[in-house]
Amino acid sequence: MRESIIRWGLRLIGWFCSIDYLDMVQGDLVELYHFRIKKIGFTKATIRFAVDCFVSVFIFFSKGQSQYSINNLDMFRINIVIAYRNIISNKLTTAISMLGLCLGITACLLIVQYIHFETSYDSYHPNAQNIYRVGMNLISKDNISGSAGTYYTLGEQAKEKFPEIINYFTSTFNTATYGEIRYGKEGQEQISKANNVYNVDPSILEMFEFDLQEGSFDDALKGTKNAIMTRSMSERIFSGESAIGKTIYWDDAPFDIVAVVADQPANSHLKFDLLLPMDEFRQAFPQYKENEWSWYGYYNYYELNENADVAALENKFDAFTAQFLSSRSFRSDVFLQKINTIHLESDLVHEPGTNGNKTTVNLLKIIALLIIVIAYTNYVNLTTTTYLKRMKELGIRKVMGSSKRMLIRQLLMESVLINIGAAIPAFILVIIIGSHLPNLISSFPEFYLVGYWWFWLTSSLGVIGLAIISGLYPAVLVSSQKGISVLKGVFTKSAKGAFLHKIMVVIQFLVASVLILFAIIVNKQLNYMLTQDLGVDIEQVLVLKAPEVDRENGEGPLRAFRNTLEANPNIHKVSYSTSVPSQDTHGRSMQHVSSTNDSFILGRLVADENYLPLFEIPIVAGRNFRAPLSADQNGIILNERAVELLERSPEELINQNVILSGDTVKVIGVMANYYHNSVHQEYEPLVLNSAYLMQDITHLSVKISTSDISSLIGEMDQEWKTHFPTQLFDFFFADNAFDQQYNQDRELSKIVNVFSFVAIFIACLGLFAVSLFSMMQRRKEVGIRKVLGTPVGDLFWLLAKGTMTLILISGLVAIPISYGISQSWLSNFANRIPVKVIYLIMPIFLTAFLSMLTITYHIVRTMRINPAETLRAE
Amino acid sequence: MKKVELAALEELILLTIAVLGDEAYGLSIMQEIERRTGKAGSIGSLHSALIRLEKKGFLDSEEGGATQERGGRRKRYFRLTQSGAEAIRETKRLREGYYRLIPGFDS
Repeated sequence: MRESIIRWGLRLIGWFCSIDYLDMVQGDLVELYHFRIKKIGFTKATIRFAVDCFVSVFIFFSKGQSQYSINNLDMFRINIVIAYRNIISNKLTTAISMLGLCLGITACLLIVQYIHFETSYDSYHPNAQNIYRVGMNLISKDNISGSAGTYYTLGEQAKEKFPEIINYFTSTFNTATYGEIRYGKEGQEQISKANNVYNVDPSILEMFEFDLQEGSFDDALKGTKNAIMTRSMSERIFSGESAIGKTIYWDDAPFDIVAVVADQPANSHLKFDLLLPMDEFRQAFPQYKENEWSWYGYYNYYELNENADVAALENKFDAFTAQFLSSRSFRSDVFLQKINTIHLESDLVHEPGTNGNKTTVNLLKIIALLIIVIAYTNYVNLTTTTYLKRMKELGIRKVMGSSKRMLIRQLLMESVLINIGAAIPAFILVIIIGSHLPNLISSFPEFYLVGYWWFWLTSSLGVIGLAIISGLYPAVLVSSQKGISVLKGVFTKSAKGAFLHKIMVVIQFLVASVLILFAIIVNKQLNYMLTQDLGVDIEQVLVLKAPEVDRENGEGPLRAFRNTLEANPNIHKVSYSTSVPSQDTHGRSMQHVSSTNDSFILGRLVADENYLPLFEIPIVAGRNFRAPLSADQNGIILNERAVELLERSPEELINQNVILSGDTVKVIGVMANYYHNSVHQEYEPLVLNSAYLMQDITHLSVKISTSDISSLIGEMDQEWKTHFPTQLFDFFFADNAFDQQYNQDRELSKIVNVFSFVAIFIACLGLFAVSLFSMMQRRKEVGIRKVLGTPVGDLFWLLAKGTMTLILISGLVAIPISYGISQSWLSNFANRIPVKVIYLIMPIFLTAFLSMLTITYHIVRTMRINPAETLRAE
Repeated sequence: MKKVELAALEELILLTIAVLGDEAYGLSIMQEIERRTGKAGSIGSLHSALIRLEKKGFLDSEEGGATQERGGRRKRYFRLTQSGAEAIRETKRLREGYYRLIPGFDS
């Protein structure tokens, strides 16, 4: 190692130092090296030696004492000077090609960073390759529903049964509470909201990566009281004080904070504020223990043996689950998901957070590639045309004895210079835009790649590589022209060259058209979904997080609070339920009593008699719940979809018995279908239980009939404080919450809009410059035609015809491609727009219009030149 | 006479070579400067300055013996030329002229 550094250092000097002084320089360096070894040791001396070598080379080079200064370096310097002069004399075209490149590189790098972020989820765990999450498919009659939540038994018992599983942990989202952490003395306690609280086994600490900041993991999550908190949560509750050893209350149970960890990285699928011991959950909810094979609200994670066969293990689970679930009418098919694929590939119910979308990532990969293609085609086209102007210079170079290779080298260097000139502002733009982009498109992360040296290294190498590749074609093209014809200033444009030129314009506009069409489709689909009739009225509905009440006798306070609210003249109706549109329902199985068929899974919510009238969901058959609800405690209301799956008509079903997760219940009514969740999916089957004891109520919907919402909220807050003084008043608007389900589509639409705009902009930039040159070449022709009396309109058409034909061709070719892409994207949606012919034609018109605008400027300018001026020359 | 312009480093080098006499080659010059000024310059800038001074005609050089330590490469010994000696004398005169004009400056 050391030897080779010395050897290479001396060789480097040898390349640059003039031969006369080589012995002196190398000798002194070596002597100094040996002298330093005695003084400061081998390693430091070697480092200093390497630094000295570089400094020496740099000094010789800059002071012109290098041995190359006589010949090659001068050439190099002159080439740079000429490149600089050319750039200056062609300000407009250089600016255009640099702007195009700069935009292209910026857009591409931003997308690269987005893709990097989205694909980096959970890979920060050191053992991510071997960690899997358990998921299962609940398969019933014509319904498969994949769930991220699984049975408790798939943790502990599976580990004992299968040797492949070397470690596991089970966790569960703690929903039993109302999301408040309390800290401090009774009466003056401080309440903080926490959205993500999980009960987990202590083995999570062995399997996942945590950044321990305070306390220790020794006893963490053991017993029933030792909790772990994140840094930001601890800052919020204890404001700067150490959290270690403090006792907090969650769901009225005390917990001691034994460790504080750094917040989870943004690219982690399981985000939490507080981790509680699993044992505590098991103790607090013994009812779940009674039947471990029915409640599937646990997240199980395995660490598998390095050479475990995952598919084989998944198959082994069939027998394992069958022995417990054989009596069940639906099957639970266990599968394993590699932890770092969850974010992009898993789309199950009960996911712990919102996952990303692989389609978006793939689309963006394509868009990035397309934009780069457009930007560089543009560059190639522009460079070729600029060289036309320089034919004389190049011709003289040839006559003076420049070889083809030398010419290519010179032109390539210019290309690299222009590319570097475009890349530097692009890098700066990426940093600036990157730090603001999250405000516009929230799924774009803060520009974090800025700190990664490999990002800059690969980007720079990429830019230089692309510069050479894109500069090669124009350079070879011009340098292979015949010297004599070049000297005359005539560029013998081969038919092949012209054809390539046209192909490039077609490619650019093809890409732009495809992107535009896709943008139209995405926007239309988004609009369609937003304006779709939901079958439920969620306007003017305020949803309060229901107060936490005593399990046994909570009914009284809840009723009292509802009565005071209903007394308010601005409040139309109040309803208690376990879910509202846009919020999760609980999965249950359903089967007709007389049915021998398999059961199906439906969403269940518990609601009072006001739920249907408040949301204006019509009753199709039978009746709504009636007060007092205790009379209806065995009655359920189904929606039409559920009735359909029971293979009965609504009227038939009224007063008949069905089996709901093992219990026999009576259908008292059938409600119309409505979209409980976004319209991405079809109507889901739903069942309504009556909230006769008001147990487990989580939402309190308030239909308001006033425009002065803020003062009404103030009044409600007051009422809340008198009824539930120790609890947090928290609310959201039903329509807002529903709307948020479309955020991902909205983001995609923004992304596609922005980048298709960039694409068409770059394409038009290129067209602008290219038409400038083609017009310059046709000046004489225009002059002659004018002299001969061609009408202005005909002349205009004559000049525009060529370009417009190309645009039209690209538009036509774009149609089948973009049709295919749109169809495959739309197939993700249950409710989708048809791809109308008008959408397919629109991009053609748009590109044609924009390119017409672009070239008109040059055409008009050329036509206005006095023919005398152009014809006088020569 | 031609106007003599010496940079600070160049002047130091010329002075050091004059002091070292027959023993003035790259490394010894550098170490002597380092010992007197306490500042360690890079060997590259020293070499560059030596080459420049030789081109200007202030220095003259001849190659000497090779040693094991230098990996068998010959040393290049530098010597002041007539104009080199003149140059340092000229700068000395220039500076002393200034010092004399500064009131209360003990030279």
